[in-house]
Amino acid sequence: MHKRYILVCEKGWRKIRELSLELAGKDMSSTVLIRGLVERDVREMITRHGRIKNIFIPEKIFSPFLFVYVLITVILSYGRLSIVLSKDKTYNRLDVFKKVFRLIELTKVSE
Amino acid sequence: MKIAIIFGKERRDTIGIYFEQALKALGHEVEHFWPKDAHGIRSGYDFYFRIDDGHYDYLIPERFKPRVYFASDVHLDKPFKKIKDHISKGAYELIFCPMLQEIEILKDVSPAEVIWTGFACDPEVHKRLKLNKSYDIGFVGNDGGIPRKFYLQEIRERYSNSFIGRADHREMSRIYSSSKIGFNLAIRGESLTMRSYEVMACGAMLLMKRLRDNSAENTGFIDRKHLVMFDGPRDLFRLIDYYLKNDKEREEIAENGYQLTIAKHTYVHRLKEMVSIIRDRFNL
Repeated sequence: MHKRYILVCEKGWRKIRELSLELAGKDMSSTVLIRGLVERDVREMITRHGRIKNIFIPEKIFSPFLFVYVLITVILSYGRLSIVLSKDKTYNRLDVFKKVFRLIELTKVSE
Repeated sequence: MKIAIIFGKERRDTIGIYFEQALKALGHEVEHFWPKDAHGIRSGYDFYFRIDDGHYDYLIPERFKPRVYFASDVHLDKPFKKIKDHISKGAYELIFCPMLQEIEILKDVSPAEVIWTGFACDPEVHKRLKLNKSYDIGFVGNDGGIPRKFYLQEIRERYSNSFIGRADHREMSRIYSSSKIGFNLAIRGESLTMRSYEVMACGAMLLMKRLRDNSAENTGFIDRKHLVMFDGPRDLFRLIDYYLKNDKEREEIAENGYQLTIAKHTYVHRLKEMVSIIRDRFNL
């Protein structure tokens, strides 16, 4: 079954970035949701990979954006959805989704 | 002089320890106190020197004067708020601060004089060792927030033969002495930070983000002579590639940076200057 990945970067960057590269190396796509905006030249500095989509989100709307994004993704996709994140608070909030949508997998990594 | 120095010693690489060592090297009688013990300090010291250590719950009692403060974490929002609050309430009679932009804000709220003094290095800790330059880039510290974490990760990916990460401060000399280039990107990018001096004292060529003011030049550091400054990501990677290829030019800059740092920018130099100001202001 097709599996989609959402990697959530709220603090740090290295672990999530390396995971996205690892997935890309296995020909798997991922969307990386990054909390905070950066200048255009910094955004463009990050080496592009066809299988990685980095989305920078303003801090203030990060949480609502994340929940709406997850909701839309899980409704529109038929396969399993794996969400990788590093913050306990976000993990606990998304855990509610997991109970409703059984195709969601949650994994916590430490940055 | 007899000095009571107050700061937390949880970390062995805290600036307070460098200050304490430098004051002792200058021949002063120095006694250390933890911030939580500030109320138990007895009188009889020429001045009471509080060094910023990230603890803001304990103040030096008002009966001890003069109270001098070195405010270093002013580039971080939460500590800066607390520091500003204490200073505005007259918690110190004299304040030193190494960040030019924040000094202007502190001056507006402080009833006491606020004076700029830079960071520096401790040659006993930050040493140039005779080692092969086995790393392309060296950076000791945490990844920080935006944008530093993106820069550091990109360096890791593009120059895999590098040391980018945390290390015990006793390892710093070995890491920077083994690095062709020492990288620095200050969190707010507006000052020569501790890392800038540490890199140069260990003999690596410092590559840092250009400052918006001329504080580097004011302290004698000239771009492309003692260090190299970059303007953005594209410039950064162009300069890294250039200086990794041009060994002679790179080592010349590293040598100039090292010589100037050791000659004028150690904590002994800084403390000598600070003590002289303190003597002058309080007729000690």
